[in-house]
Amino acid sequence: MDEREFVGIAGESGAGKSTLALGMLRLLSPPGKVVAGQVLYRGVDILKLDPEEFRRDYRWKKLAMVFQGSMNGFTPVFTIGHQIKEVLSIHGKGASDAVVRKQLELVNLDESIARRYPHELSGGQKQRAFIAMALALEPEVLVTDEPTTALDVITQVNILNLLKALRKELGISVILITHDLALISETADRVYIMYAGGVVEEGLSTDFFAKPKHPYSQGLMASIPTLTSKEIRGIPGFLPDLANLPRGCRFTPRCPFAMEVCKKDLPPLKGVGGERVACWLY
Amino acid sequence: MEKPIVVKAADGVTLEVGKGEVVALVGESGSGKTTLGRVAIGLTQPSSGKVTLIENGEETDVGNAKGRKWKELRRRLQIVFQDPFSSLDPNMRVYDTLRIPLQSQGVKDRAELSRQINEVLQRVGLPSQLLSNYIFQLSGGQRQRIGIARVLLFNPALVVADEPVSMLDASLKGDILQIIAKESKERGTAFLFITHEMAVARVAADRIAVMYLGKVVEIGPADKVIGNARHPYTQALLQASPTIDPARREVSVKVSVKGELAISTEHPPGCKFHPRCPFVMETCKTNVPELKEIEPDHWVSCWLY
Repeated sequence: MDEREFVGIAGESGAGKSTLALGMLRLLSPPGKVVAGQVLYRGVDILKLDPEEFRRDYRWKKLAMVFQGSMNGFTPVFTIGHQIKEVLSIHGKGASDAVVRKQLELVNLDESIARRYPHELSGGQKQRAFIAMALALEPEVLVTDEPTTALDVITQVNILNLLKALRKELGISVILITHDLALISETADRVYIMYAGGVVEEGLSTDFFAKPKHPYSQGLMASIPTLTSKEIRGIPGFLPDLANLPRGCRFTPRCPFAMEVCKKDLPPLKGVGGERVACWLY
Repeated sequence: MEKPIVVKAADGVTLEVGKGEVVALVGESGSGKTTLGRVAIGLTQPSSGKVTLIENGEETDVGNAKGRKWKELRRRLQIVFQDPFSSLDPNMRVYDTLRIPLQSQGVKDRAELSRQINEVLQRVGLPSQLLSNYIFQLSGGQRQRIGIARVLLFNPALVVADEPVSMLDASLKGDILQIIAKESKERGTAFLFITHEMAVARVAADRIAVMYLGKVVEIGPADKVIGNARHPYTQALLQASPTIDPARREVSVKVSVKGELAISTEHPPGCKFHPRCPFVMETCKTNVPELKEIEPDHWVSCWLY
């Protein structure tokens, strides 16, 4: 991804999106581990760095992550301000009230929030406070995993507006991971669709939403409840067991266009109309 | 000693759900929708007011039923919960999860048990191979279907579905909503569907009631409430509904409502929505508006009308 780019990664639960993000930040818990591939940050493969160097120079400093349900990641016994200061001082940055106030301002929270305890905040406020904490060390990339789940629609809009504004004002890049394509359509420049651990379609938002090419992407689009139509269709079938993947394309059992070749070989990502799609139809 | 804070979770609500009807209660957290749902099936006692089940000309007061009448009501009034991971015992087999409620109703014959279980499984779109699986082996979407199947076994008059799809992926919501639509139309089961998502209500509901801090602010047929939303809060909910709209990427989406519902114990005087309302007038701050019929069957409580 580029500087100031907003990337959306979409797919059902279990597709591997969170795992991808955790892998990028070297936060996979054993026995999970990265067995192949690179994560190049401005040319440096951060997976190969010494763990201490990665922790010191990259995690939270260059790449920050707002995990799923992280609004519940605050300790209930300390104030928000205390917890933000703690993050700052652990990483050797000045931990003053002024810095905390600046962080809270970034996410449109009043400075009085610094003196409150997490249980005194609403879900939306907690989420924003967590984003403020994640941005405390001024990272260049912010990864957010389902940042609006469990939040009401109006709060959801506010969080998404915030992410868009942060990209504009701070010049950060944002990765939004979600199962909800609608959220991605409203925010992302580029989209990656994941299925059963692999990317099946990727491209510019404009190309993707104008015409999704992979049958799975089409299924996802058709299944989103919208205000305009009473008709919605689910995608029949279930995610394959990742420990027991079938040969060939992983979407075959659920695909309305499945052919013989799909059962035998895994299709590679191929350029199709400005995007890249992994499907034997093309 | 401090005066106790009294919070009216649901305040002055009158609602009817007819046979085979799906009524959606839409609102943010703190709106009172879950409380209302629980009161409707007798799980919570209202501090005032009454819930009446009318069947075949016979009226039953749900709140005051005792003994055998109460037991019977527990069959007729059912609930499907939001979290499929905590509302089913993960260590039970699917078959047993469904067998136990059936047996509690007096079905003893093994062949009959098997027949009914297979039939309800089909109604929720699951293959009978899953019967020997344990609940923990099922995905969230599959578990939620079992949660619904379990309830359908009782052939209930009313099912309260409390945010039944909010924990599921977007692509799975459709199937669950279709099951609900089908059951209501084919079996005449009434559903009180609680959700914070307007788009979900649109798909599933015949009528929509929008709630805010304990009050119904707008109610009517689904297409009228969505197509001709009158209450400023309803309009805000519609504006905030996520849609596939790439044009929204470039802009901050404007939702014409101020702030967030931070603490729901602080109910303002007058119209409860007035502190956040973009159209607030003087009267709104002190006087509580009543529901008024602004077009056939479509009611709004707002001083603008």
